[in-house]
Amino acid sequence: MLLTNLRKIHSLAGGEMQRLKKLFIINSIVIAASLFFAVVGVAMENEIAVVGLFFITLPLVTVIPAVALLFRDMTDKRVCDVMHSLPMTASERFWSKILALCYYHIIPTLVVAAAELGLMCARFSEDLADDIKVVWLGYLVGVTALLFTVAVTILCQMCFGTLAEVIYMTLIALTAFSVFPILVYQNITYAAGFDVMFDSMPFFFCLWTYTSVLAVDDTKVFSFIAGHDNTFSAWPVLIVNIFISIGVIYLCSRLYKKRTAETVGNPIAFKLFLEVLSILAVFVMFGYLDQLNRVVAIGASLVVFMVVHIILARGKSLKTVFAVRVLEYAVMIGIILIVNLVNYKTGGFGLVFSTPESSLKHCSVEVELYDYTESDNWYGQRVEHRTLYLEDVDGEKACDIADLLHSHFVSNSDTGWRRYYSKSYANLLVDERKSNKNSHISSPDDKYYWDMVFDQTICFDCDSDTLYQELIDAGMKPSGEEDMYSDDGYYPEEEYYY
Amino acid sequence: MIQIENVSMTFKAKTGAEFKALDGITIEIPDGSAYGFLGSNGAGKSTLMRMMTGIYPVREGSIRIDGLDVFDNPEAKKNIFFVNDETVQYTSYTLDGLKNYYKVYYPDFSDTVFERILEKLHLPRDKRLSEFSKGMKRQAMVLIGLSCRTKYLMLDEAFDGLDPAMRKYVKNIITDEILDREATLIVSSHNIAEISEICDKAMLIHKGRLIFANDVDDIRSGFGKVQLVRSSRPVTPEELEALGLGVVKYELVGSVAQAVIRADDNTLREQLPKLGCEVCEAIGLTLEEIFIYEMEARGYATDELA
Repeated sequence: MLLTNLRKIHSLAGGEMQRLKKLFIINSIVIAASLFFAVVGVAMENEIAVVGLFFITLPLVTVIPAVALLFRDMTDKRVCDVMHSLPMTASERFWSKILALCYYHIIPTLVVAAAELGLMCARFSEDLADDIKVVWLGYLVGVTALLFTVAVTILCQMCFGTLAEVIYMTLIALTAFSVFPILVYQNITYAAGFDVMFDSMPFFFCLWTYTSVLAVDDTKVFSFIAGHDNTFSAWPVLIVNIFISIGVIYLCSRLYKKRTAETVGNPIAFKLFLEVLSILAVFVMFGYLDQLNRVVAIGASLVVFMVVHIILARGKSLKTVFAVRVLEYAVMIGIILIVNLVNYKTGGFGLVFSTPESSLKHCSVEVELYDYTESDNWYGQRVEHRTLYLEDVDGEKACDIADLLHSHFVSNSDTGWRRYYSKSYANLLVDERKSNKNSHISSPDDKYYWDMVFDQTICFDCDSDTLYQELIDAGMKPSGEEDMYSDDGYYPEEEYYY
Repeated sequence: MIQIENVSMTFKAKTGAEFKALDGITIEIPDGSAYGFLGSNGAGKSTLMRMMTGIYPVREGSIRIDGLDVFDNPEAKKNIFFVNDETVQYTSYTLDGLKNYYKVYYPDFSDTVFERILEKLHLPRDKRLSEFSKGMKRQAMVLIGLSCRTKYLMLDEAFDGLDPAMRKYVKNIITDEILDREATLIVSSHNIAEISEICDKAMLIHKGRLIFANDVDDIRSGFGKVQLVRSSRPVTPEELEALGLGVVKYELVGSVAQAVIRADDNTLREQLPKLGCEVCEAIGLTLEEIFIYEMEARGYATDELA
């Protein structure tokens, strides 16, 4: 029974491929050109091979119109009349389209890309050496990105009933889904006093988004899977990303079945998705522009929000649309501002009290103390800067130092971006010593390298001399060099503390 | 047989308002018949056809093709071919491309029938449909529909765009092919004369409601136009109603009462003499006249032009 159904879907996919023969030809030309440049580049050992790699990334973009045309029956009544009257179930229709997409777009792209990378790795194996693993990780990133694009495009195709809405909502969705986790991570990280290091984003920020690309270098949660070689630890995130894309495509098959021909030609087929997308898009636009100016952020995001909803509300009373959507926007911004306020007040929802991993074996700890003194009329603001360090300690000791600094944490700050507005703060830096797995080790000094694993700015409310002494008592050593400087870089005094 | 029972369909407009496109339609289309769908513009004919071909789901009532529910059911759908009133969706295909496309979905597609009809229509097989005229596109779709050899062939305004000679020619081709294998033809058209020429059964819907559905001959014989002259006083519509004669339209021109009456010949012959008219003439109506009078009685297209 299953085999019969699969055979039927396979033959129906043939019908879809006939319908979109031109797209198939265009995609084949792009892939053929990519292979040609890659082969020539490898044979001549020059950068033409990179042109081949550029061409093979084009299907990432062309897959959007390809999906839009495949599912044209969801946006064009005339095509809908033809396709929905044909003797097949909605499920068979959906999967035949997916299979056609796989046959003429996804599989050829992935196979040729793998062939090109394999060719380059084989030809340039000496030069690539340890980077070969990164090359194949990059391939998996490409697979992830392609499937994510396909899944989001199909999802938008299910939820909107006109071609224009499908195209621009897909672009909005791809941007919103990708940027939203970054902004959330950035906001929480800043509020917790950390530097934003995208290659250290926790795995759940990269689960289903283009930003899984950023996880290629490091994902702490999964680092135990491959020891401390963080290059490999991105694999699980990318695999999960692929499975989520496949899951979303399966969900779309249920939506396709539920969606009937009456909604074809209506801008919105499923309102819930539109509302979710609106919230994400407003957050992204507001969150991004808020870094420049709050008034600009509110104004710009409101304008874009209203324009999109006015376009979507065809035939409805503009007064009603305007009133309802302005209210909706006000509620959304209100919620965003409240959540942001809670984020700042609690130091990133309590993450400000994070400590380095206690399981670290070999690490060094450095604390930089900054103390702003009163402004000097001639020299501007003056900053006292002192550094203390600890070498070759374990994670437990690093945690102790962090706890000591947190015990003096300024808990009642009434402004955001504490590091810029507090008078005194400490930078806590923890580096982990890691083995260098690079095969090209020319000296014993290259056996290890230091990787920063913890970098937090902690604002404190006590006297900086008191804190300095407490750090000395905890076993930290002064670096031997202290200075005072003004914001414009002029050094009026230099003092040495021993 | 196609059984349509108490089917209603409600759409939601872009403004959010609901409107009822079909309201309680019940008809039966027997095997081997040629059935005409008549109706005013926006009456619901195309909506009903789309429900019969499984494009729209049936939420109120039921539509069964040979006992099978049609929506999302390939077993039912493989017996029906729908040629809708649009042709723009096939513009990138040649005739051979269209043939190959439909062969995937209709396993009973006949190359023999395709070649035979193509020879009669003289359509170019290597040109894209975008280069065809409107009439040629219609011919192409009829060609494909007949070649799929389905039990039911539904044509929505299929003759629109054909010149009179080609209309007659295509109608003959259709009736020959359909009659040969006792298939069922369902035709929707605004050309009532055409419907009465091709079809043996017809139905009329207006604003989603069924006005009548019967054999074409019975429909015609169920209406009559009478002219009555009585010297004492003109015959009134109330008198006619009192005799059990349904008055569709009444007009008094001098002393001559002209009325379109919903009644068969026998009833007219029995009842009209009771009026005591000096002159009493009754003539049959064409289907087109019946359509116009029924629509006028319902206030359709009756406003005076400024």
